[in-house]
Amino acid sequence: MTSSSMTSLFSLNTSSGIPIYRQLIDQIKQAIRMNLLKTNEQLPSVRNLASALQINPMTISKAFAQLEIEGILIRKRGVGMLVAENQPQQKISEDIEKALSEFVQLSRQQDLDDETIMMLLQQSLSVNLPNGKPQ
Amino acid sequence: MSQSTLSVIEINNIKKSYKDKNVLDDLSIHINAGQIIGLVGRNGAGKTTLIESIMGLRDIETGDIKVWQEFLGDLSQEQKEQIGFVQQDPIGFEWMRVWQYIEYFGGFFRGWDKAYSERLLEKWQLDKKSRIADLSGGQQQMLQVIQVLSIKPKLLILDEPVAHLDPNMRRQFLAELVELTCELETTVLFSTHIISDLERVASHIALLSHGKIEHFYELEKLKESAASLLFENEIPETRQFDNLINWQSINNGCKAIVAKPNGISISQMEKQLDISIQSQPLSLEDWYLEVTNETNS
Repeated sequence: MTSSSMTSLFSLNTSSGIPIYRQLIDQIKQAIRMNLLKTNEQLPSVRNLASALQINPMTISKAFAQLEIEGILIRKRGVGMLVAENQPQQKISEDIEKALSEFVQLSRQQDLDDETIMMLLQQSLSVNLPNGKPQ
Repeated sequence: MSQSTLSVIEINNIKKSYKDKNVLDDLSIHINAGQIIGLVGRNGAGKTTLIESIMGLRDIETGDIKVWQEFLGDLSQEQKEQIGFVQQDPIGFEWMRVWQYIEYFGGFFRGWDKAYSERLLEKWQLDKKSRIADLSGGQQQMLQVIQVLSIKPKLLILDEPVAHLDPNMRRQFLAELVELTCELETTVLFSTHIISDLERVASHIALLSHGKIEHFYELEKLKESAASLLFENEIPETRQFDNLINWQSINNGCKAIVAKPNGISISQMEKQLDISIQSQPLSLEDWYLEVTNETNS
């Protein structure tokens, strides 16, 4: 993918309070989930992407490095960053499982039925959008 | 990009006053190779005075300034030619044509890349044959920027380089700046009031206030730590934290604005207070407004 078409994948928001490299990480992950970035596809170089997005190259490097650690991108010598073949399954952390089970227990204690609990969760999802963007 | 820690600009305890006003008051800052520093501060805070002092255009009363570990007067001709500088002042030379201006000033710098300046003129749609007098303020600023980028500087000092540019031109300028810093690992110091531009390209932010660099942080670290915290109850202890910028009581609760990359983290605060904290990330612009708003307690 060229760096100019790559840029259209991203919408970086400087007024959101979320660091730009985090926004990049989230948006690259999302592009992979949506298959807009395909397995083994090569990402533009740090320099090309930085220039196309008009952001500091260190920010791009930091996002790439993080995605490499997470196993989402792989670094191929002399080529650059590629989308990894086997995307790591999202691990649900203990914190989330704990919070979720507390939420369900609390809701049942207050006599909420399953449908209402589901609705609450959906409401919360629609209010708290990724990247902290309010709706 | 290599993360060199070579010192490029080293300013120690400088003072400068106009009449009885101390504009720079015991100011120090150290800038390393490859850093891109966005310099911010209120109007009249002394940003231009600081920049002009670095360039040797203003005499400082005490303290010292070194560039590449040399005093200004000891820099070699070759080193001086690797410094690009754009002032806020009007361009002057109104009788010159665009191309004459580029060629005239390019001639002083052995690093001048003639083909590159031609490419930029074309890309930014400046007519080589126009007279400088006929250019708009924004176009004159573009011309200065083209001139200074095309000498391929290792150190670039820009006093509000984008103030007169429209958003499209600003983006194009930023893209070119990023390109150049990637290629040459140029160290950049630029003053600006446009925080969103700064956030895109800068590696560090330096805030000039009360004659000093009051805040100097790596941008990402600042953004990680800047937040607005809400508490249901008024918790006096929250006023004690070393990362606090502003504190306000609201009905029975309170709001704390925090941000200091080297201060206590929010999770440490939660542990100390033994509560969970509602935090909203703070944008860089909001952080700037909070730290520069003197009417807040």
